[in-house]
Amino acid sequence: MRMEKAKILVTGANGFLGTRLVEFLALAYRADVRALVRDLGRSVRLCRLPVEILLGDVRDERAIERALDGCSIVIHCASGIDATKPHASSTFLGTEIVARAAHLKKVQRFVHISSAAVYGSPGEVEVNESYPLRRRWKRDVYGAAKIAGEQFVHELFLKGLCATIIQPTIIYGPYSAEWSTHPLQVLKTNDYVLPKGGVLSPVYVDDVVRAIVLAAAKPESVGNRYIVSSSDSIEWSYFYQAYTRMGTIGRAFAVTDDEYSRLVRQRKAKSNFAALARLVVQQPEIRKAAAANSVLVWSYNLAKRCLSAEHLSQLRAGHLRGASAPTSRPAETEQSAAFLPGPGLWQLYKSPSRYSIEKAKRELGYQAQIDLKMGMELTAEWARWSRLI
Amino acid sequence: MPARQVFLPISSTSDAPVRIAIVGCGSVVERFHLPASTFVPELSVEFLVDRELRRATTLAALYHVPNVAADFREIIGKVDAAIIALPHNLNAEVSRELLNTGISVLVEKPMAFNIAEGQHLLAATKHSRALLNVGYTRRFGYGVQFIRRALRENLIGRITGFSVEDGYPFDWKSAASEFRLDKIGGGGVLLDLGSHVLDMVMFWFGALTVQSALHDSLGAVEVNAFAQLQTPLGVRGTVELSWERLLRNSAIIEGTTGRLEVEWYSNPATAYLSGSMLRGTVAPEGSNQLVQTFDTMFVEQLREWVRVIRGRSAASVLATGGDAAIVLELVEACRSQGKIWQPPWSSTEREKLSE
Repeated sequence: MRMEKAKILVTGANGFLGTRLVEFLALAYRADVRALVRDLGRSVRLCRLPVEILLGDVRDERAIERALDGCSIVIHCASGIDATKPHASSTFLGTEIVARAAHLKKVQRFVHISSAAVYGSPGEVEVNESYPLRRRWKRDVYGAAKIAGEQFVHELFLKGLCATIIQPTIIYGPYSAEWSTHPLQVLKTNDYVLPKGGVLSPVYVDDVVRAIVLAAAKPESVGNRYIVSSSDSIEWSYFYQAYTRMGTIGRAFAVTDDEYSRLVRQRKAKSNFAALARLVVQQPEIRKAAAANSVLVWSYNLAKRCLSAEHLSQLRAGHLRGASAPTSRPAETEQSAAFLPGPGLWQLYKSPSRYSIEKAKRELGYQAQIDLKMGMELTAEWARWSRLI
Repeated sequence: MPARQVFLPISSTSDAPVRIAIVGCGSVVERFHLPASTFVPELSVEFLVDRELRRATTLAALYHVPNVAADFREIIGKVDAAIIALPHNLNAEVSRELLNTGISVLVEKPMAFNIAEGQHLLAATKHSRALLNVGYTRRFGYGVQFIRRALRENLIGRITGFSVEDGYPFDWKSAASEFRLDKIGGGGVLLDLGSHVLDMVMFWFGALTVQSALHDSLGAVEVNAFAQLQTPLGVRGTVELSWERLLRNSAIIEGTTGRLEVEWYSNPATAYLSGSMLRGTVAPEGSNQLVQTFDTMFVEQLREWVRVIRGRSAASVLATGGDAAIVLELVEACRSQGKIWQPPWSSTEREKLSE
């Protein structure tokens, strides 16, 4: 199928992957693109391109019906998770609505962007498309929604929808909030703590775009799912060190699980102490009671030692009371603190699983063309321009 | 064209509030114009006009505005002046029609979508006693005014160059669902943000000429732009604009004996003179306010507008239609002379070659 002759609907078109995809479709393939976005205010990168920008939510059946009008290819990139209402999220409900509408409209090709997260964390193995779908951890809302999305699409494929599923691993590159902006923002001033041994298969955003276009163009892709990644697996600390080489102050270093747990405990204790110290400093009654209570005297004296004079006087004056009271240590000490990933992110970083792209190579003719060195060079250029570094 | 109506100009001796309408009830009106109007007793908002009447009604209830309308023509003969705050492509047409009926207009920037529209609008003022002013609110920044005065008084000697940067990730929550940043709606960063910046630089230096320009429009509107400009005295400087990234958001002016810097999001200006630092402002008399917000700039703008349309003073800070027409010419020059800039990470050539 030729992209140039098709009217293509891209959902989630203002996202990191969606925008780059639209850019390629419009500029490299001169395709007739309809970019569906939920928020026009956050779609400026699309405004440079000769495409139709349509406002609509993938969870709105009528909006999707309008969006699909005249389109022969649908590339469903929209994704959004709401942990409080997982079944109403874009990833879950949105996928169901878009896939069903595409089926009813009998579109010629439906490419669903899922994630390699659907394979969970199966351990030290090379994951391929025959692995069972499962969550990475108990409360893996993202993985669960992506699995459900794939199931909807598969059910509709059995009923005749010409669907292909793309499962990228970790996508990085310019504008990636999670895997480029986040590490750069942290590492700009702080160290980043990572687990020893965890690996990832990073894939530069343009390679994912290439896989999507191949999947849309090749009829033999219908009914299949494809893992899309680079050819190599590397340790997370190595990946983040590529960002530190861009000139950040922070360093990326790996620690054991025990060291991580100790650092988390230390951080919690400090934050509990800071809360107690604030209470003692701010409340005159407690300060009075401190005279008769050795623990409070100890806390107060410690607070005086740990907090800056300016901060202490602000606390005494009540300037930082209530909602405006600081929830972390003062900025000058915060800057030197290392970033500790939360438990979910730690689990992700720890995964030793590798991913096979043999099926995509064999059936789609996919080949990752941008290696880590080149991908990071492009990302560094963008980061400097964006003034992230 | 509607029939020309006879309009009685407001007497300069009258103390009755100037009756105004606000046409367009989008975010800028809700956030700035309406709140600002409550601080200016010399004017009275008589009408709110919006195609979405429900929106006008909601805001009218909040601000005790007695009348609402879906069609701006309903205000003709009932008000003395109007603030026009419509999508960019509608500003000129509505303003022209109102000027033709004798209603003075303060139109949000950009007053028109292109030079031709701007010229038509200016022509309308020639046949009308009504006045055309443009909402280049940034001029009312104390720091911006300080720079103007400092330049006039040669505070930093002969000017050798300037660098202006304005940029932030665009996230304007438009109240109107149809507001678009495109060729037929909102325009690009040069027309939207650039109008403010170029007007501010011309407010300081006079008319500018474009030496070279870059922008990133690839068949639609530009989101990033860069221009090298020249003042009438031959001083060269740069203006960089972005809707994608947080820039310095300041203007730096270099002179032979010092440097001036102003951040319009946090006035006042700062002057660095031979090793010493001087913070300056031109706050109104009696005001001890050094840090100014956009809200107060809108109040000051409305106050001067009322004085101007009452004929009690000429515009000293407030932009005229003529000022805005020059800005439009500069925007078009940046576009037409500008080369397309496609950063390496945005290239799609790699893909085409690899197919």
